[in-house]
Amino acid sequence: MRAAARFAILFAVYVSLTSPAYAYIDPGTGSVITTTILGFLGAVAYTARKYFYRIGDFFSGRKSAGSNRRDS
Amino acid sequence: MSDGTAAWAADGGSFRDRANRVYRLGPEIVRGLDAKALANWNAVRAQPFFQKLMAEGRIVSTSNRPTDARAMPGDECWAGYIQHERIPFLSYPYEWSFGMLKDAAMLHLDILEEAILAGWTLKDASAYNVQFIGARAVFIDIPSFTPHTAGDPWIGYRQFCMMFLYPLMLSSYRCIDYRPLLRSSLEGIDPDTANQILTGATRFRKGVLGHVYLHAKMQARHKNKDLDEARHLTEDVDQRPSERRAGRHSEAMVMGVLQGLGRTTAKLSSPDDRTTWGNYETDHSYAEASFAAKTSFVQQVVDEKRRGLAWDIGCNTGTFSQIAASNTDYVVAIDGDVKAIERLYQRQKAAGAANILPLVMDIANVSPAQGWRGAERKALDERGKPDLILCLALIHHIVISANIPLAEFLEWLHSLGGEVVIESVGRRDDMTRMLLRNRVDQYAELDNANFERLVGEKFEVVRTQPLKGGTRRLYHLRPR
Repeated sequence: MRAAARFAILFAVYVSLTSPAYAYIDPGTGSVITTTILGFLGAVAYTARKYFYRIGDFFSGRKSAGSNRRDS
Repeated sequence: MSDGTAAWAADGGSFRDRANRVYRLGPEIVRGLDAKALANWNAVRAQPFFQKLMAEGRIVSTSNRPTDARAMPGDECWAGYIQHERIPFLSYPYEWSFGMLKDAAMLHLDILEEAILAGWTLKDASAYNVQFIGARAVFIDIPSFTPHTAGDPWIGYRQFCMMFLYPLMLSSYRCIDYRPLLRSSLEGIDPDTANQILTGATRFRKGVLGHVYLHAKMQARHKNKDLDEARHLTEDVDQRPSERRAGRHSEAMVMGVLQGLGRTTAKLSSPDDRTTWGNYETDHSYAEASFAAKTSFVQQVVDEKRRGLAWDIGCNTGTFSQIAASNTDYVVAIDGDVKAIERLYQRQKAAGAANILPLVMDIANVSPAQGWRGAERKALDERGKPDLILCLALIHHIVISANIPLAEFLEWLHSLGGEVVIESVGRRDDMTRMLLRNRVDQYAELDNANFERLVGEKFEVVRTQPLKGGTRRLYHLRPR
């Protein structure tokens, strides 16, 4: 429980302390927050997949060409 | 043109990003770049990922163009110029089949993924940044490539959802035709609108909870906050709008979103994929001999000379578009039947063909000029006049189903300026009688003698041939 609370505080600090992003199109604040939430979940899956392929490539002796593969 | 400056014509759809602008300079497509965009271009074109994508034809072929002082466009002065390969015929997302929109979406994601891994990004995600050369999707907005600052979020996420993801989801999950929506709203489908449509059990289809429901809720929440803030600003003169802050997005976060979207998009399928095709393209009312005679007539016209651009209107699955393509630089194949166009696109794509562009369009309501000043998106006939128009087995649908007077239809064909191959479908024809079953017969104009009289006012008849025992007739026409 304490760990969850610590994570929530860190998440809030993380979201609020970084610099603004500018573009000629308005990315939409709600949309950026959406990508933050989906990005956290996606990053875990992306990183896990990346290492999964690296381990697979290590044992199969292949070069890690597929470490950024989308399919899984 | 004697005056060099007069030839520069700014493209009506290229004004949003002030860092660059597209111009037509005779047959050339030239883009002016400001100093920053020029520096980006010079840096990105040295990148291996960019060179590979361009070599594969996934990014429009582009090169430096020497600055010509005589040719400076009006008051605008750019730091440098680049020249693009010309797209033979422009098309827009509201004219694309499901497969075309999906391939355009996947192209955008693939390019962005490769860019991110190389330290670059795309500063927008407009579906209008993709064009088709035949059945090949090509990314055309070179200045969209900018260096990716570590920690920045993906700026184009909302635009990607609105222009690609939601239209595809509406079609795949709810069998809703996205084309009328995209045609009336050039910015795409808003998250809130998508959220109101993708309800019930559809909420739990792949990608909907995160990219639609959560997205719409977050947007609504921040919209309300913005409204509150705006209300306070008008009351307190000294107060300034609060600065927006975006969370730090690691490369893994951006790639995670991109790849998740890629998997979601790749799994979306057209509702038409789930129906059987059967003998779709042989679904016509001809005996073999009549169909062979028709094919031979069209082939002879096509073989007469090499032409630049042909339109096959009412193309169905493109049997005659392919005949036209055998001796024409580029064929635009148009039909209002979504299934037929999807079929043609998938076949052309599989064959790697580059000179037939399939488009979904109702001939009785062709794409108009629209957007800012009515010049941002071009009307169909502003994108290139055809040298040859095929108009086969169509006239009865135009005159009876769409209630368009024959004289006006012929006048429109004449205004396009090209030769025409048209099939007259008389009142005794089986299909005509079928269409008239539930209607008052007010179509005396379809009578053969009347058809020939109206045609004679606008066109010279080069050759003619009866079909189906004389109930139909083919004409090769030249405009007077």
